[in-house]
Amino acid sequence: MLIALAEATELEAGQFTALAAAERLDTHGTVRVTAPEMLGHHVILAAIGDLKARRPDLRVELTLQTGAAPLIDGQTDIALLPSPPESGDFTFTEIHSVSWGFYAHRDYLSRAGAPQDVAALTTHDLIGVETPSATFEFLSALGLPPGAPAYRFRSDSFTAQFAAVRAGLGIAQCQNRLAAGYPELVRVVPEFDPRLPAYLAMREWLRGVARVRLVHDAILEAMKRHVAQV
Amino acid sequence: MSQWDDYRAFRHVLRRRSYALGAADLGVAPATARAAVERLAERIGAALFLHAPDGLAPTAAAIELGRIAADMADAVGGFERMASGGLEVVAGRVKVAVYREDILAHALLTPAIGALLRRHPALSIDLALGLDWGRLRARACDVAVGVTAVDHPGLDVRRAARLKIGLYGHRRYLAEAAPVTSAGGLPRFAIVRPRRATGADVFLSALGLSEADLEGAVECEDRAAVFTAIRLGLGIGAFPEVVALAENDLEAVRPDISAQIDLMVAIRQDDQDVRRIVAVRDGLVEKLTRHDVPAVAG
Repeated sequence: MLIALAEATELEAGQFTALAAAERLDTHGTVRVTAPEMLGHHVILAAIGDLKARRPDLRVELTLQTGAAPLIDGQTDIALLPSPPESGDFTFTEIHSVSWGFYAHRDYLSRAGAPQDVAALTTHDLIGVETPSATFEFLSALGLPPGAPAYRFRSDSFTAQFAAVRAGLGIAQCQNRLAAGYPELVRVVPEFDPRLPAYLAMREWLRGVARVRLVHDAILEAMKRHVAQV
Repeated sequence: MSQWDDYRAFRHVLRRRSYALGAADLGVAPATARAAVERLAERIGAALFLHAPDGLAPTAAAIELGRIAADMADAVGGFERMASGGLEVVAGRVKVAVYREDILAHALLTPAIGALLRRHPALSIDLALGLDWGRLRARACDVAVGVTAVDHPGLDVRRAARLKIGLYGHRRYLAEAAPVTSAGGLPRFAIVRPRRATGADVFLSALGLSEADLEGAVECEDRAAVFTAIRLGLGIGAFPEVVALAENDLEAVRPDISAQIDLMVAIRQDDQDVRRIVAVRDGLVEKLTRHDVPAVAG
């Protein structure tokens, strides 16, 4: 009786190991990615699109976070973050910094004129965030905290801010690489030139899982191209 | 720190699941945020956070307290906006919220808000995405925009436009995919759709399509990202015609598969005397009405 049970247990353990090994090699299935919304829209979706053309059975659940920092939860396989993950469950790669600038639509500038320096920004219609965030504390140092009266349009969604600057509502901070795709946007006060780091994190125990690795590598390559083009 | 500062610290720590990140958002030292949370925990006699592998895990008490703290923050925000200008002038700050259909915010609302800001130089507008109608009553916002039916007492709700909804895809994607001859043939397409966890896609539902029957290629709760995915040729999706056809490369999958949906704008009845809120409501309705399509019987 005990021998039969031991043999059955051994067989099940073998099947489990074989299944786990197959799972690690299989590129089918779902990968869960968390990212800031703008990089999600403009970098990650294109990377996923290219990958899906080669791996149609791959499925990606993308969680885009408004505000400055994506939140990692128990469901996250891969995360694009503005700071290294605090959790030891993740391994991460630092991506060369993402550069930012202030931009306005040329229609806004022809109406309001261009600010000659950073101090002059306070006399313009600014677009910014509603909720304070450590990621953009340099704006407070410029005298432009989220509560400053110059902000005539505020949203914690950077997609909404980007739509607002493209609609000519005022001047907004924007990633240089993204703004470069819109010739109607003009950079102002170019001496304002912050660079913010980005980190691509992957759950440590998923490193060997083929589909997660595929998505991770596709996003990493896309991010490297993204920051290299500025 | 005052008790209010403790609540604020708690909210930021809860939002970021981290003492360090929550403190950084507030511009205080991590030890200060931690001490504030510990004072709060001592007052209520229950732990608020446990250490978990992915950061701080809120306890049930913290989640409940978080709801109350969010309501308090909404009330304070509403008070600050109300105090930002007189009742009789269109000056000060107004907060507009869009319920889930963020793509409508980017494509339709933002230009309308631009026109309002140009017309009223002393007006400022905050835009929030994802709030529901109920939060309007709690003063989380002053003007709410959305396409879902709303029947809340105490709200003044107006229909701004009737939008035509259809299924759209990139020309390249549609040229490569098999032709759709019936609604039943749609699952052969990769449908780019919001994640099911966030509830039904109101645009797909309007077309009478069940998400459960469709194969998801990319799933994302951010509908603007879903729209971006369609523009990149990753699949097809349901969107208002006025949004889809503004993109030269998108076309209707089957023009006969369409529906109509009402875009609503609401304010609190209590705010009928606050000129800036009424001005924003009226300005948005005026601009959005331009997208109105004639009603189709049946």
